[in-house]
Amino acid sequence: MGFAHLDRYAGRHSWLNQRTTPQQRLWIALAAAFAAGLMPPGAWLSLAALAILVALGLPAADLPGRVLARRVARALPFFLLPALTLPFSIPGPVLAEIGPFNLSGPGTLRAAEIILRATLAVSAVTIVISTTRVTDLLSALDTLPLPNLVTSSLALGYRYVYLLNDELDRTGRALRSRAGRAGKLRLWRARAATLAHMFLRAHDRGTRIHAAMLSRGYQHRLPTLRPPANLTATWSLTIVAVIALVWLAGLIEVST
Amino acid sequence: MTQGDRMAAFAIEIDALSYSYPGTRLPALSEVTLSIAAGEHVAVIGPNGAGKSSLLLHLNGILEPASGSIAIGDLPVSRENLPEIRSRVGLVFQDADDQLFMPTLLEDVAFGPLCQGMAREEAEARARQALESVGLGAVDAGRAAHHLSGGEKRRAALATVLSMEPGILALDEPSAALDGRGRRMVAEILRERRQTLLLVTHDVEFAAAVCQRLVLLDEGRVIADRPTDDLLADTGLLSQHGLELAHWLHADPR
Amino acid sequence: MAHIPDGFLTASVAAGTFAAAAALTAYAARKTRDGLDDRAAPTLGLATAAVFAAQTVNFPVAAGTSGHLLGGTLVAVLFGPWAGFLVMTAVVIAQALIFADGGLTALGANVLNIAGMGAVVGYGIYYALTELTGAGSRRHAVAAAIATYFATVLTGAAAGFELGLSGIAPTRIALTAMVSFHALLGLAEALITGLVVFALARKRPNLLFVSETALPRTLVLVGLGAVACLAGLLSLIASTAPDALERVAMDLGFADAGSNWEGAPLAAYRTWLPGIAGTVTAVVLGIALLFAGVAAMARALTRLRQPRES
Repeated sequence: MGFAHLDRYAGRHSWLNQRTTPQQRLWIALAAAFAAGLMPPGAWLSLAALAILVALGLPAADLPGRVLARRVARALPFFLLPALTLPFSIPGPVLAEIGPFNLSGPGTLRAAEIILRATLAVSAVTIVISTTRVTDLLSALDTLPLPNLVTSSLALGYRYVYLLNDELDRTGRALRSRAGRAGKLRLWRARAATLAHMFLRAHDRGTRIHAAMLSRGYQHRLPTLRPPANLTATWSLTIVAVIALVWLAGLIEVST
Repeated sequence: MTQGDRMAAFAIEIDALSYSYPGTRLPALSEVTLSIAAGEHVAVIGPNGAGKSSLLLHLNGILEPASGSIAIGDLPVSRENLPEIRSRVGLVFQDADDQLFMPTLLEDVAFGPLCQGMAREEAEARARQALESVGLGAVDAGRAAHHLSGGEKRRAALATVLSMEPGILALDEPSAALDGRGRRMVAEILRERRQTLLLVTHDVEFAAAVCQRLVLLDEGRVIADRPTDDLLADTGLLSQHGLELAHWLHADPR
Repeated sequence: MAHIPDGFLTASVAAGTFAAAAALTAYAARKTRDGLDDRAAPTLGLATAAVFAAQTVNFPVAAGTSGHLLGGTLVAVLFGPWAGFLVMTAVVIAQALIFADGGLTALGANVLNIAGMGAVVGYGIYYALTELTGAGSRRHAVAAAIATYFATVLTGAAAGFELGLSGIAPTRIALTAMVSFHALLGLAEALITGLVVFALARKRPNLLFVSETALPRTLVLVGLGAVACLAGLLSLIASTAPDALERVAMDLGFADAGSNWEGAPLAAYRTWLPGIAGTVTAVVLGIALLFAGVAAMARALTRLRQPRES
């Protein structure tokens, strides 16, 4: 998990970025992920419609296809592996026998469906979020019903992870220049000591930041420069509504 | 245009201030008495561990004195006065990264005004003005502070308190870890301030470049309190307290 | 693997876990504010940054593979269970949104599994163990390592249970797979956490979080006994009554698609299940034994080292 690449595709003058604010894009990402994730099983037509919507998002957000492919490929193992057990565990007519295992028809369909849903959700979130600056995303998170302590942790976490990473690099380099080839356990101990040192410095910095906050009149809550939430703007509302409609269509498709 | 034109400067009265950190026996400050007039520029110099930073943290009540008292203008530093005290005293910490804690530079500089209860638009205008006054008007304030250079961070840290328009600026080692150019820029910004200025540093040249009066602090005590030129001439006293001057500064004027 | 992606949980499981996670988060926020007051935001923010940074440090395992710290139990040991919970919640949210690691519909479940099990339950076990062992950097480190191991296995068990309830696989299989995987993963996590806590406790012992509520020793023993019994019970369920959990799931109406496992290609997993079930039983029983053994060992250690550490 690196941090250098975070804002690489943010701030493009894409169709989507010009018509929506970061907080509206966050809501779009959530709507798409929930529609994909909670699409009732068997609603193939609606899932296909959602897939088309997500695919349209790629040019709309001006995100290069290979970037999306890389992100999806990185996440793929995490849903491929568990999903691949489904063809063997869900009952139904046997499609093929592989060794001692029977590949069932419904199981294979279910696996394909879950992989598709997971891919759609990851794609939608990647398209919308990776074209949004992290700082904008952080302020957008304020519009979600999260405790202040969680959003402030994310904001401060983003601000200071670079600093702590630099410190880690420095202590790591110092350690390497002092130690020659070491055994694995010794290496683990050295890395753990580096982490311990970092946690210690992070703690001390937290104390100093607290003093700096108090000095400027801080009282219990990080203030914000953002205007209050606004989801009424036409475009974002339209997109969220379309996604919601597709999900509803899925419900109807399955029940009939 | 300087913001200093329209703000009130406050005097600082420190009377017999003593303090020890919990768990330590040696006092960080003992019986420190110091009187600074409104608008005066004073530097407290001394070696590391002399108690300089502890002194600053008392000015706005981050630390509470064991004995003695501090007053900012007509107001004693006490628990019930803290909000007003903290809007009068702008404290700039030694490590600019401690001062720039928000996700974006603009939010950092607007933090103080917003905490004072200012409306969003007004706070943002104040923040932009403060960034302008430290020469950072051209940087993208919507980005995070980790994109800035060391010198820019230092000036940004200064802007985070200037936006609050404090009557007193109190700075901890404002020249630390800066290159020559960065040092000069910060010194120029500070010299132009109309506010009361109290900076603590072991960088004697920098202190002399900004302030007309120097206070020598060591082991928590005031050793000397004299006009800058006068104290600079006493090289024996300075080196006795671990402060070295570059040769050119204390060369015989003859 | 601990992160469940989108598409795996049914709406009812997603809703249930969201509700539970939201309630826990609100409670954790209140407890943290009570404890830390206005220090809470900077303290938790820096802890979050530290966890993010720590997750980039690789620990080589074997054959070119490496692992990294997850950090749930470690932050709880340093900052307390509720602060640790909030920190890990922030981490899980960032992973879902920015790193496509774990789904948004599964956010509630992932928060429960990673923050709930890792920080809160992990801290509970750590706390109980330190009550038994007493102070000392080595003993704290051992307690932290053991607690981390259990918390990691429980993280896997919770994820397996949620997947089972969602009808991804028969609960027993999902549980088996997730627990086995996390039983391995937990070894690295436990070792790293133990080493870090040891180094920290040596450098600055007062940095470790100290709970203000002291529990009587009997209560601690009863708690540990209960956890051990639960582990044993789980292993019994896994080995002798394989369909009990699915039946519960079906009765509750969770397992929707293909909920009738009876007709599953039993021929298939009859041949390979005993292997995994056996492994898991061994693992879970091993955990229970380990738990009991460690408590005894810690006590013995305490007595041995009494003269040197006070």
